[in-house]
Amino acid sequence: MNPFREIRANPRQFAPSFLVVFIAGLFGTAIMQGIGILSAWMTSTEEIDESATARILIALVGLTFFVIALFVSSIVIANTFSIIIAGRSRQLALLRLIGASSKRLRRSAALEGLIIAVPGVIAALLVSTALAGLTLTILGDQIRYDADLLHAEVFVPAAATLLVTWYAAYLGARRISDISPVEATSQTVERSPEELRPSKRSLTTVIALLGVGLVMLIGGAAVGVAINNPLGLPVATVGGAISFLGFIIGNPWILPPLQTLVGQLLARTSSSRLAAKTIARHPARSARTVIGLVIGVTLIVMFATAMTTFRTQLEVYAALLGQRGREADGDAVTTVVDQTMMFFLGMVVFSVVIAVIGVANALMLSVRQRTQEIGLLMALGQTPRRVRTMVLSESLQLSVTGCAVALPLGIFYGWIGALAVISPLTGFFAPSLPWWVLIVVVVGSILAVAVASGRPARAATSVNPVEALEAV
Amino acid sequence: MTTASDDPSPRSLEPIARLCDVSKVYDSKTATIAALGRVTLDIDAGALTAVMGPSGSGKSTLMHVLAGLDRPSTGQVFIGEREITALNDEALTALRRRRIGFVFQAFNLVPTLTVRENILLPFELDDRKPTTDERSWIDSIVKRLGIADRMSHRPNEISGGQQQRTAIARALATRPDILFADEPTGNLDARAGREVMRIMAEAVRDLGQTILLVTHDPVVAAHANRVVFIADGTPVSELNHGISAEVIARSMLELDVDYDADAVEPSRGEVP
Repeated sequence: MNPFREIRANPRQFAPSFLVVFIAGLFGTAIMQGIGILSAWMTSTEEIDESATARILIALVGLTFFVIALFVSSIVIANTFSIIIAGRSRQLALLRLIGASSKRLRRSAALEGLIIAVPGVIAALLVSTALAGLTLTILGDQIRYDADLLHAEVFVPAAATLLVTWYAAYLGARRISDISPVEATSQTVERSPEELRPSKRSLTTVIALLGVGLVMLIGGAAVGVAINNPLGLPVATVGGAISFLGFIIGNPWILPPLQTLVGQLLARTSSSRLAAKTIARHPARSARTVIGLVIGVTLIVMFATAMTTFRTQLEVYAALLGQRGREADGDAVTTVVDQTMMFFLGMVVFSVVIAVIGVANALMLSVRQRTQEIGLLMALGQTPRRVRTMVLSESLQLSVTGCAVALPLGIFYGWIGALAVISPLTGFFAPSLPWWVLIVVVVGSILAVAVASGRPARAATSVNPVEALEAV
Repeated sequence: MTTASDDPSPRSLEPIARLCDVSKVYDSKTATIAALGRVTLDIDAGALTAVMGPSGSGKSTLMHVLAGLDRPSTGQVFIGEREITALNDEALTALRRRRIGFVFQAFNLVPTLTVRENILLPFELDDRKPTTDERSWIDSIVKRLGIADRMSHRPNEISGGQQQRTAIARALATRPDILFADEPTGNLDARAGREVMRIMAEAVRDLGQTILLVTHDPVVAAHANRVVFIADGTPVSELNHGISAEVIARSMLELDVDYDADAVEPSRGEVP
């Protein structure tokens, strides 16, 4: 099938993917251009010695966060495409019936991803360059050296975003190979819910990743606590990355039971019970919808917990030194810690924004594909208000599940990190919780998802019951 | 192009499609269902063969197996000289694209494409443009089917009868060896249904097209040159001469099946 035609026929379903590509591309390009400006500025202020190290450090940290944002984007885009494909399965079955091979259909679906990514990336480049130009104008005379905003490196994040989108769309379209041409011959409209559980082999991988990661995490912290050596940090960091990867791959096993639990706890009215049933009917899809949010929130909570704990323990240590009659400048250090925390949180926010778009998009597509079901509910007397409540409740249950998983995980990772770094000075300690960050992140992400679900909710109530029931 | 019937000839004696000792067994958790039991059947070239039977008799399974949409559990299936049971998915897909046409109860048109684009879809999927010869062929069938002035419309802008005629035009466009029609009139009113059956019969008579028709409606089956009755997954009897709706209906009643129940309850799942 011609990918341009698919996009022209239904451009709106690609809008979220476009937005996600734009945000990821903007983030990556802005980091590269920001570094360019920063080094030009540092050269101007003649702090040449420091500038090289600082440049590399900032580039490293910035690109790490860009890769995380790109990873979350790829999950959102793959999820979007898998839902688009599920909604198109009848037409795909027809094409299979009259002789299109599944390989070809999958390639052309992936091409749709590439095609929508191109304008997204170009827009990101333009906006980022405009912002960088504005920054240069504001800094004005402070910069005496030319900051090259369009050197080759600047295009690397854009190209990476393009390729990742293409591949994510291809991954998302993998269900095409399961669509049988016979499906086109029957009149049943709804396809059996798409349930793709990873194979037994990947379950083994997940358990291995979780096991190895956990051992390294605890080992890294133990090196700090028991042997008084901060070298446990790299071990714990790698362990954290490994176990989190295991968690992300294992989400189809880990999240659905929690979704069921949240559904049972929160679903008290008929609309929220219907929402819980919708989530339960597509456990794997719902898990994939939430996992982006889990990644973002976990990272925020992890940095906030690590930094807050670090800060508390520094104060404890400073007090300890003070008792022994030595002077310690605790305030200066805590200010640096606070600033570092804000910088990290700012960087993670991009991933969270992308994840929220992902949840809203999944809700939108899920509503569109349930036109008939919603029409039936309305024909049976469900009021538009309660249909809206139902969609809102679905979004609420999804984001509550996401936060319920992400909070303990983030706190644990942050605590282990802080233990590995500073326990050689202070000994074992409990984590200090960054309460305001926890509250802001939970309330913020639930609110953001709820607001973003407004459009899907309106779409749901615009369903005309008569038309929905006639639609074949 | 590998299509055989470039020269529309009157009915030949060579079967164009064959089932040899074909069984199809569905394994489910609760039970094993034999949808087809050791069926051997020849489909004559250039004829309209109707397969009739009540719900669950296996007539749709028979068509799916014959069209390469479903693999038999045992036995062989031939289209022309080619055994399709041995083909892999890729080859079966190409076979469907080039040598088989389909018309179904649900009109099976791509809603975003115009009538013209829908008809040309098999060529697009084959990555080629129709040749001059094929173009004039398509023009002639489009005229014959009376949809020439509807070519730029989308499926939702034309009537059900016109949609089904578009599906027939698409199925005939590649001059397939065999055209499979599963309850082609099921979603149409009586007049549009008669029109569609007249077109099918003409395609056989005037163009030498081979058609296998699956239906439970004696009036529809009355257009056939041959009627095969199937019950419990096996052909039980057939009619070759003096075919009329009354004779078919009588034969159905003689099959010792509850035909009345079947007539009330359509043969396949429908949307409420």
